[in-house]
Amino acid sequence: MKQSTLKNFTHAHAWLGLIISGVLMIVFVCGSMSFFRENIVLWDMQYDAPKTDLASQKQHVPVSTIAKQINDQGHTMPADHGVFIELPTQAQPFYVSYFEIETSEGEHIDVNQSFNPETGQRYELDQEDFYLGNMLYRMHINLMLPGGTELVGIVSLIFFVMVFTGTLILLKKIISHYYQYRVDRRKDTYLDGHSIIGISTLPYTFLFALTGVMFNLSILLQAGFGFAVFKGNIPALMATADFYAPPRITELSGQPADLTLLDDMVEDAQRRYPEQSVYFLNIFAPNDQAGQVEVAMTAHHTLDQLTRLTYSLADGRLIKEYTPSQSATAGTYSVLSSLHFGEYGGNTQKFIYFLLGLACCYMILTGNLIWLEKRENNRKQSKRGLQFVKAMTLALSSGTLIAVASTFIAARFAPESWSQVSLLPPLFGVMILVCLVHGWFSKNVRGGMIQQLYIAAVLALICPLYDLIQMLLGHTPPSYLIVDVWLVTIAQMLVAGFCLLLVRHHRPRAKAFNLEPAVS
Amino acid sequence: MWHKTFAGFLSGVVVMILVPSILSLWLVAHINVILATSLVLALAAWAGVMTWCYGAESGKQAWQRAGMLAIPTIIIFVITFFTAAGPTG
Repeated sequence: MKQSTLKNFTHAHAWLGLIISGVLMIVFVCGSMSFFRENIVLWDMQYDAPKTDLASQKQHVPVSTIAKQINDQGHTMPADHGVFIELPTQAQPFYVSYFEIETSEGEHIDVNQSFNPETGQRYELDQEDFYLGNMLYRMHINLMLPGGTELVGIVSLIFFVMVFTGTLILLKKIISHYYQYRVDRRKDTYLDGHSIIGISTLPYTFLFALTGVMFNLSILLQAGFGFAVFKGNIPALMATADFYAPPRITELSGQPADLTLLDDMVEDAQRRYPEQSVYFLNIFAPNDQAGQVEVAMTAHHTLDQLTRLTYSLADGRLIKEYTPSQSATAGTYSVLSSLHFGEYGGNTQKFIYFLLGLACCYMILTGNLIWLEKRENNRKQSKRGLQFVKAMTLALSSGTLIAVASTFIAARFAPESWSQVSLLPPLFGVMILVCLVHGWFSKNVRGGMIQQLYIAAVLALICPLYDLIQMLLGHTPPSYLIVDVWLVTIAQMLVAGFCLLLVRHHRPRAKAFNLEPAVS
Repeated sequence: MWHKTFAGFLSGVVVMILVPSILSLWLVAHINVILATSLVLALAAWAGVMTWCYGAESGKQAWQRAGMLAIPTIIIFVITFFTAAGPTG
């Protein structure tokens, strides 16, 4: 490769990195925490969770009991929405239901209810009150901003370009210089760390750049392909690709449905797929015989996503059976999605992904530091412009770690009467703003980043310390939550450790004493 | 940088959409497989085209590179679109 081409790649890599670093950092930090999304929800509710244990129960009430209870509440439900009921599992030993109701003013409201698996009685527990896990996930996929999905898609595409340019920059030295890690010179330590982590995490970054573009921008491929090949007939394209389409009830019969059929459906699904377990039921038009029920089955440690069986609510017969692997396109999409979420490998896999995510955060932070310090030493650089870039970069890189740690603290300590949905997203934004102001007044970028990382480390340790003190004082979470509590606690401690490790690396080294004798 | 970015982005979109479309118009029986492959290869090609444009010496060269990829792709697509039957007949 020509030297000038290499220079162009380096130039592009540095500039693109700086431009997308803020969004990319939010996507990576929130995405890494989102591997534990469901664990965070359960960690969050550990002081309020029902004391129940599936192992101690001989038999739980059938799902039809829960569906009847919801039906008896007399809500008006939009015709095209289903009532979603998750079955009890070892990790979540109670029924959870989600559905949407329509008010007399035509307003749609999301409802979440949990039910005792032994008695079928409703708990006073709304999972919406434990919003942190879902907020981090939403922050990861669309920054909770209008147009955020497309923005994250563009950033993923540029990140993909950075993976390519970074690999091409190091291509010649990829083997011979792999173990080069110079600790004696500050700038090179960052550069070497950035390079070695970049190369080591290449399969991971490639996968996440690809799936990031696929989730957020493949609509362009779909739309373009639909017009170019199917002459605008998008339903024909979807039928060819054979993605799963949920039931759509257009006409009601007016006859009430027999909900005990739900139990037969669960039994039938379990008989057809004995190696899988029923994950949830989605009941469309539950009050009517024209309704249909989607029974979703899941298997552990497999790249296959859900198997879905659709039954009729009139007589309980099986209408449709769907597995993503029955179609090349849907199967590929499903496998890539499974690889992205890391569910197939259990908690170990999620932890490996989490650590790789932190490694990518290290690359973002060191990449920014290399760029900014270079500019700080350049006398021709506009001071005001650099101050703005520095403040923005600090706020959106190390500031993101502070914002995430703050939301954990708020989720743990805010009064129950405060809605997490209203509290957490603004808090996230306010913390980024505070870090922006701090970055603006920081004398130099290194000092500012060290201070912010220190604060992030302290904040990330507060919840684990509080939970530890509570445990020492006698609080024990319900047994089914212990794994979740430990996973999330360890994740927070790793974030704190990551920040402290960076602080140690970023701190200017003390000069060694010169032990040579003075010359008189 | 802006020229390189737009040149790479636009020609990347053209290549990403039209190359699988051309193949699908000719190989109607294999559209599902082509779509599946495109999820990996076409999206990676988009980033690859952008990378190639960023490697250019100037904005002008980036547009030349973009044109070298996009124009023949568009011409082949137009010919294919009006000659091949495609899935809609």
